[in-house]
Amino acid sequence: MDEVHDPAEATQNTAPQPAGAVKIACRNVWKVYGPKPEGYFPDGSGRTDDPGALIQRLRNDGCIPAAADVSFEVRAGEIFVIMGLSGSGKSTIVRCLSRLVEPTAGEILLDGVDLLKMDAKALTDVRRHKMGMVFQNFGLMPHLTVLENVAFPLRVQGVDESARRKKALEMIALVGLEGREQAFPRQLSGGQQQRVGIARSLCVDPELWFLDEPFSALDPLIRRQMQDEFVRLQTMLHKTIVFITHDFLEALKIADRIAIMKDGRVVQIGSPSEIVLNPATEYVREFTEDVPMVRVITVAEVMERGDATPGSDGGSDGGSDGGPTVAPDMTLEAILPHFATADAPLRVVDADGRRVGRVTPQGVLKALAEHGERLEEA
Amino acid sequence: MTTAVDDDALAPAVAGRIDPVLGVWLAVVGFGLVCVLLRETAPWIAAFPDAWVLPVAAWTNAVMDVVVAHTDFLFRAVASALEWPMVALRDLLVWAPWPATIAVFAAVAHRAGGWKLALFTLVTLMYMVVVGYWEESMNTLALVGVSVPLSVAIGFAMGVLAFRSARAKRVVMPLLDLMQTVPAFAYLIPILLLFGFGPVVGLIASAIYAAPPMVRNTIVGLERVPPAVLESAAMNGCTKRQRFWWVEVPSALPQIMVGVNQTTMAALSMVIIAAIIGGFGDIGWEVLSTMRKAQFGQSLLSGVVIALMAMIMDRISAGFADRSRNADRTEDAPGAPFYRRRRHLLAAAAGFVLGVALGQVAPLFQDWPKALVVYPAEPLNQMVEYILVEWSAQIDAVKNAVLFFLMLPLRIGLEKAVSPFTFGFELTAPMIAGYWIAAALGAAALAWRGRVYGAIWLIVGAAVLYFGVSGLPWPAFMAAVVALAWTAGGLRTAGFALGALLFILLTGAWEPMTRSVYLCGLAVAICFALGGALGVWAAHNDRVSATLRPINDTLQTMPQFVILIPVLMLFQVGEFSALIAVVLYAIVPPIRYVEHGLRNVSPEAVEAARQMGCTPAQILFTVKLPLALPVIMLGLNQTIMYGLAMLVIAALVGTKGLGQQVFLALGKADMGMGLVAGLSIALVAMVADRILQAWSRRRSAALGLDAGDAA
Amino acid sequence: MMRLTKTLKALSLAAGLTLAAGAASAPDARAAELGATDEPIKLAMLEWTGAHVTTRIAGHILQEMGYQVEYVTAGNYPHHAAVADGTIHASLEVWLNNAGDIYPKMKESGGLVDIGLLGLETNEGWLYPVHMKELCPGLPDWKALEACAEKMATAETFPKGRILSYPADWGTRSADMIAGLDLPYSAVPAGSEGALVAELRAAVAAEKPLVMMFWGPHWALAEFETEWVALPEYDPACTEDASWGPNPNAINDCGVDRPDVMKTAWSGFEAQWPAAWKFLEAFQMDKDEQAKLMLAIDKDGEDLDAVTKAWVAENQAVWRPWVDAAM
Repeated sequence: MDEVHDPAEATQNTAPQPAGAVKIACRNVWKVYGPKPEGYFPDGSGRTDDPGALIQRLRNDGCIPAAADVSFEVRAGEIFVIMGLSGSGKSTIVRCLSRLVEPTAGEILLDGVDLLKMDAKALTDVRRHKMGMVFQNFGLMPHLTVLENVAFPLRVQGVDESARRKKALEMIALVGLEGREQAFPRQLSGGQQQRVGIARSLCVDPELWFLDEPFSALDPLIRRQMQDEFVRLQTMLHKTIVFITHDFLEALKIADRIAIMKDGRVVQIGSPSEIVLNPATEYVREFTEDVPMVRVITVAEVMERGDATPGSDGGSDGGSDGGPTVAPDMTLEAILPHFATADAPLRVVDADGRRVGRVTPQGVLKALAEHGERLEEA
Repeated sequence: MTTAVDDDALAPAVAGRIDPVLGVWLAVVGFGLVCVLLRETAPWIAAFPDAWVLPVAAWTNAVMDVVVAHTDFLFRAVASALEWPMVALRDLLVWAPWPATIAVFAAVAHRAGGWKLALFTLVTLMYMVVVGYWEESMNTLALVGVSVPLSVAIGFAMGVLAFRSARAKRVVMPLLDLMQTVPAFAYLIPILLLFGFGPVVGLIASAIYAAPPMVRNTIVGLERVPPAVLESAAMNGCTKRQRFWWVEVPSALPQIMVGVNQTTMAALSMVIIAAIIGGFGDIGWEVLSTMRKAQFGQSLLSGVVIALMAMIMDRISAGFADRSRNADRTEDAPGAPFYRRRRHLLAAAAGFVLGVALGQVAPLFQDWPKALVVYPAEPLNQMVEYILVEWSAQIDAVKNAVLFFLMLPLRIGLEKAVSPFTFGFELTAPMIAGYWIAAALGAAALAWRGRVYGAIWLIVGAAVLYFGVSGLPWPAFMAAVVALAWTAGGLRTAGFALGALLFILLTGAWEPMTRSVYLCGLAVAICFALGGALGVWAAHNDRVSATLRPINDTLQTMPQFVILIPVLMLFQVGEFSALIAVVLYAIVPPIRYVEHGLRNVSPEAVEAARQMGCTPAQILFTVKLPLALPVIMLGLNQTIMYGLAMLVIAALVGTKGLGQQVFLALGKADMGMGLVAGLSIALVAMVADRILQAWSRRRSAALGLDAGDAA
Repeated sequence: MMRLTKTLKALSLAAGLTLAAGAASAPDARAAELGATDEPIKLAMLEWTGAHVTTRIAGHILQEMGYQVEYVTAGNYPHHAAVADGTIHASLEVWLNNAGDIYPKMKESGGLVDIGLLGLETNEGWLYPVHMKELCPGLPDWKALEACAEKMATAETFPKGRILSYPADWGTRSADMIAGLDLPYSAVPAGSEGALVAELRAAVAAEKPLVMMFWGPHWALAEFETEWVALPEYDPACTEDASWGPNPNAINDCGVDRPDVMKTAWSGFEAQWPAAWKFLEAFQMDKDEQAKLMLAIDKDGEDLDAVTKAWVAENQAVWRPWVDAAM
């Protein structure tokens, strides 16, 4: 248990948090493959004192725990990334969230309601109206055009032709595929196909957006474009997102919070910088090794906290009037150019325009050096 | 006597090894020797006694009589339900003037495959008009027009059922094997008695035979729908029905269309069966009638109609299958104007109306006048007779050589085949001793060089050649086949082989079965030698490939009866004619599969070999052939299936064996006998199939490793 | 079920017509009513030309009588089932030596009834093309065969001569005769009628030796010059009494009994078309007339329908009495 951080605790010290309520929560979810796995969970709750021992027992009996005792919460408007290598259980868990895979034990709470207790009809309804999903291999219908693919979820709901055409065209425009409405999936590049997948998943205006390694099948260059595109979309849409990836850098780039999985279990949950700066285990640390720190460490972590009253000791630090200001959630990489033009400390201003502290070049260098040392020690 | 030498020769090489496979094979060889030695003292070893045969055929008849008596009204109802659409379609096709029908087909062909296919269809249909077979062709078309949708519907339903339920699949899969391998002649009588006389019998028979490819392709198609597509369907909140009809079926459609194509071809090849029953005046009846009169020219001209019809249907359905895979439907898109989207429909309708109008105006368009019929049957007949007269001596020489030195020894063994009339000398005791000593020495030499299996094969081969396939004691035959099945596919395969052989043995079909195995085995060997060589040639020469393709198409789609006539005239009634007929039909798969296998060998491997300085021959024998082997083995499998299928037809030439049993039963209206013989053929085919499949699977797996190592 | 409704329909129709006719005129005691003239009579078109000729002639005459006729192509064995269930109404050239086991079965079921013999004078036995006379002097006498057995030998039969015989499912008559007459021959079964004809065709073309079991009338006899081997005349005693015939130690030492040719019909035929039944009972076929027409069709390629129509037009004298007796 020790390496698993309590989700609530993990979010505490990080800089600006999406303030929404918990949208979807996973509580002690297990997915076990094997003969009669339900027998191991008499009350179906998945809560156990010693998950490690239970995993061992399952393995000895020839069962495969694909997901073991997974718990996390995702808040409204948050981008929650689940990161892990293949076989870590990340795809299983995102499928448990929509019951594409039926969990063996545990609870999935959507707006406080247990998804696992819903009947098939209610579940279909939830999937139709509240959830959208993007797949690694796109999952497009090969026999339908782009337009028909995007409109498909609406067709399933029985929306009439002109209405779904209108909505689909809107979505196609949103992902920048105007002009290819009549093309078939195989006539599109991988990046374009995934744009179709994204448009389709958004067509029903879902509250929850699941993305299962959406960019893994793409070339590196296209992948970066798509990541940027994704971030752009999210600033417009503010969906609650569960994003699966095996690419740590991708996770860092887009996540509000990251859960790292290994062998079916959640190893650590935290903000990108928290994970990079305080990896919970050796396993997590290995991922962080190649990460350029300037891209991860945020201003909030290196700033000297100061008076929160606007303009209280304005002149004393210099650069008070018209000098550049930075936000607490900016990465060091983003503020470095400012040091090139002015050697004065930068003022840190929060979203409301209040001054919360300052950053000095020394502070930045010190933080980077400290991190380097920690790596050496380990 | 010399037999002891064999065992001794093997002993040193075997010493020290405890390989279970080897052990089994040594036991089989030993068991075989015991059987051979005991066959004089215990005659039941040489031939399975009739008294031990179970009267399965009689039981079947008793059961069927009761079934027919109590349920035939049900089947009759089905028959009349099927008959009226067929009669309606026939009436329409016969009523419509030929230009109208041709116009509709050309439009359909154009939609499926563009101008080239439309032109091909036009020319082909004009052939039917000009030769004077239009009405018969249309009758056949009506038959096919009902049998194909019926087969497709049944096949699709069975495929979906098997896909949905694992239990259903376990029943369906072996059923498919039976449906494809039991010759239709075997179940014609039960169908006739159940459904009553008429084309419906042919319809049911063709549905039984033609549905399996549809079932298989439906299952494969549905199973191969990408999981992401299914998941996205679930996430979009599809109901079960929506998922099936909107997602699974359309995604599987390209594969399902492949099934439609194969089913169409199979249904067409069964059409001729309808003619055996009669009642429809179709083109198959024409082929059979001319076959009865031994009119080669006439049967060829009518047979060509069926072959051409098959080619049109093949190209059109393949064209539609292709469209479903990579449609470029810009002109069909919802935005396009009506007349562009529906231009084929409009063209077909216009052509039809115009054709009907023409038919009203000029009788030429309603019925092609007899005076204009071109019917070159006589020149064709004269051609065969010319060859017959001019090449008589050469033909006889070839025939006798094959009979004396290949067929007789293989069937009755050197033991009986060697005589002054055939080989020019008598078999003497020293010769026999010499034969066995040579075999033993050869085996010893092989064993000495570590090739223990080679030694075993040599001994088995020598024994088969000496005693003949029909002279092999049944326990030894059985042991060898079961051991082979076990070696290739393990206990399950061995169990299946044992069960199948026991069925054949206990129903009294053993003797005809050995006859069939002998003839078919020989034909398959010849097909593989000849067809393999042609396949290799075709793989390396595009022109040869292009020349062979239409010949292969014709050999496969032409009713097999047509082949029989010239073969009979040239080689007379007997085993040799049967062999030629089987070879002509079954040579196609080896040509196709060898060419396909060789052409698809990974170019990197060939490049690597060339870079290392291999000669073309070395590349062929050390790289290409071994890598293509799994594909080639599938070809062998197909060759055996084709050979066994042709065996029944070849019985018309006068062979003995299971094929003849099937025909005997047909004449006697003996349901039980026909089903037993038909089932025996199916079981032989299935045993061969299981063994080869198992072997091919293992080989592919091994090659996967080899390829990895090489890379 | 279908059969029952059909029969009922036929019966009611026939009854209705009888009533109507009875009211109009006093019925002739011997003559029968036409019956259901609006229901076509379906006649079996079997596979060989002889049957085509017989059936067409009967069909044309039935049409002259005022019936509708349909011809249904049908296989020799399966068609008995069709006659039995009323799918086909009559079959006019059923060779009893080659009717299969299905014919007695269908007769037993009650669906199929015999109308009577066709009166076709038939022949069955060993046939050879005329060029054989040079090869085997002494033919057509059967004793000549003994001397030329070696010339007739083939790879499969050596040292015995080869006699091509019927397909295995047609019985073993040829082999029995070889044994009975003690000839150094072996019987090689052909697989089908087509195989027999193909061999005959090839033997004539290449002047090869051939003796084969065959039957007549057959169109092939009209096309190729052939003769029958003169065998000891058939006698019932021959097949039972060993001492009978040239070989005192064996039965079957004689030729084949001339096969009978039967006319058969669906059991409801007589009730539905009484006059047609009477006519078919009287209908006979002469072998020479049939052979003449077969030659015209198969050799000269003339049209079956036209040839038989012409025959019916020219031979009123032959068939008019049959019709007069029926109507």
